[in-house]
Amino acid sequence: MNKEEFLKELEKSLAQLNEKDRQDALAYYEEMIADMVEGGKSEEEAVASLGNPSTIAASLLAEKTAPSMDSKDYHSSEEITQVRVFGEDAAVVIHGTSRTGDVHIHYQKNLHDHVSVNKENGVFTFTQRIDHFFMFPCFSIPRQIDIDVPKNYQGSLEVKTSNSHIEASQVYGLESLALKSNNARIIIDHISSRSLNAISGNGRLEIAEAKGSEGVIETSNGKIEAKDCEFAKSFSATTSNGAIRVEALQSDAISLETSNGAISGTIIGDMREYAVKSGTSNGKNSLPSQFSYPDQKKRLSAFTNNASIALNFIAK
Amino acid sequence: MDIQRKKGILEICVLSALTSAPSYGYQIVKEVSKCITISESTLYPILRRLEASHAVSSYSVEYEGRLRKYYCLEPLGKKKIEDFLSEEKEMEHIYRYVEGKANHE
Repeated sequence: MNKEEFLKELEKSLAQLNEKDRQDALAYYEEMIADMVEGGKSEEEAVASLGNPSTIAASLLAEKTAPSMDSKDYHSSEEITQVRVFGEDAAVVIHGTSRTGDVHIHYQKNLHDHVSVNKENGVFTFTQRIDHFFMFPCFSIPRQIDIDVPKNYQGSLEVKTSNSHIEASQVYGLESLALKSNNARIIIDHISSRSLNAISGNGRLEIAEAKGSEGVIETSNGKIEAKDCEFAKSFSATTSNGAIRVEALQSDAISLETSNGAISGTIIGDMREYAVKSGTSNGKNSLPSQFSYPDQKKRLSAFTNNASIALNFIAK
Repeated sequence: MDIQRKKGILEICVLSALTSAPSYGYQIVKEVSKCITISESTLYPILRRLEASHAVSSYSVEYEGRLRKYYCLEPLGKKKIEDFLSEEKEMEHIYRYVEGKANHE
């Protein structure tokens, strides 16, 4: 078979595809054959090494129909104000991009996954779960859901997953960002959202360069690190078994609470502006246990059980 | 190798082939073949997928009177490679554990 016959055959076999996809596939094979010929093969050899056009078409069509769940597009700017993503055993990576347009969710569907998508009243919901009946946990392959947030999306984003981590970076101007992972870390970097909520059951929480009005960070078995965060109204960090470290934290109402870890770091501001409450049972405390007088608008509370508290106030 | 797993690994290999410079189909097959078997017809859907997920972008260049489509690595693609490498570290740990148990028997 020569090139022309091959392409004609392929075009016929791809009749079910839309025009654009079909032309794209044909262009790919045409270019490939030309390059193979240039590389020293005869046209017939090149065509023969590509395989049977109808087999190629069949696998392309299968690809097109089966994992069409892979990439979901929808218009965030017009109708969607809330995006919810629920994963199981899947890492979730949220990434802001400089383009405008739609929020993209990309997921490589695995054999025993159920994926469903729902759009209703401005709420877009993406759910992925694993059919455990068929699944031995030890054969589990790494799963990842990618959420690509364009700069014009300013609604809410809610993400829940189990047994795997969540990362969010370079997303600005959200109304709210709520992240929940029950057994792994959450990493947040360069985010602005009016409200931020990050809850992990058994993992550490790392936040850097986050801005907003209210921030709530919670884990039960991990340390918390917040670097260069600014939450105008309030910021709270709670863990039961880990240290809390803040660096250059800025907020009018700060609450830091742990039971088996040190609390340390720096807060931007003057301590005299803050009504302070603090305490530890077995460690040094750099803060007064209670310090307040009228007209103090800002609040700071820091409590731990078996470790020290070392918080310093610094100028901006 | 498990099909899904191979699919994921091929994707990473294709992305890696683009780290130093943008490249086109034929060249990518040649490059990736150095480490894993890949056919021209396997590559095509991978490129489509990577492009749809913004891991790579593409542009066409005229070459000897015909068009050649170049693929270019995007930040998201770079990130996929980084994630893969960090995951492999975790996997290595698991391999060693499994290996240790198997040898112990």
